[in-house]
Amino acid sequence: MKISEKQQGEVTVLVLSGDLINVKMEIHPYVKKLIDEGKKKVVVDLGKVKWFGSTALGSMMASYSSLKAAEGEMKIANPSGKLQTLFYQMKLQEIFESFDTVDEAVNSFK
Amino acid sequence: MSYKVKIIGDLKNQQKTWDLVHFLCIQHGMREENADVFAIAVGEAYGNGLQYSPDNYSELIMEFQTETIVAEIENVGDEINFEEIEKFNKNQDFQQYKDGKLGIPMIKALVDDVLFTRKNGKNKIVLSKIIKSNKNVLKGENNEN
Repeated sequence: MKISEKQQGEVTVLVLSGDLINVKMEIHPYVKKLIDEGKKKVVVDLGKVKWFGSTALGSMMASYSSLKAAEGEMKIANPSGKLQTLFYQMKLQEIFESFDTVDEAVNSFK
Repeated sequence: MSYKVKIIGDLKNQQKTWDLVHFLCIQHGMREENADVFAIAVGEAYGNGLQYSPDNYSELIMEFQTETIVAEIENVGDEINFEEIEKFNKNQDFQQYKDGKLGIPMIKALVDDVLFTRKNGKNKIVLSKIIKSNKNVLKGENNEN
């Protein structure tokens, strides 16, 4: 699993890629570091992710929760059909605001 | 009429198991979105079976019945209080899942039926999904949370 980071204005975009099945997920520590740096507007780009295991999903949910507690926000970009189905089935689409592209997600903060 | 398929995977190639379960469900007539969530649930349960057995060995048996697909996973492992672990609810504190522990709540939320038994030091989990469900997963109709 890899996380790469890019900045688009005030918004930090985290691109996840690689195997997200049953792996230790580093996104929550990563997001906590961003919060410490004052970066509280985060888009998670899932365009390179096919399957999503519970460890990865749990870490992302904790990231959302930590950002919300810090008065920040996390949005999702490019989720595959499989991930969208998973979010709907777990009613997480009511929690994670999702967009078809990274630009749409970034612009939604304005 | 039904038929069974036995899958023996390993920890390093879990994505292949998820892909294979999904493929078999689609071939047996399950809707794409139902196959997606069932493959995730079965893959997750099988991954746990592999990870927590002493020799990282577990067998996954898929049974394709007329109206239902059943996945049976059995492995040697520690006792689990399966019944006491709640089905995932979006109103729970998400921080409790930052380092894991979402597997069983997630599995319970994704399948139509789940049965857990323990015998002779082995855990067995049986997951079922109705093939021709009229419920629309994309509207969350399978989830009563």
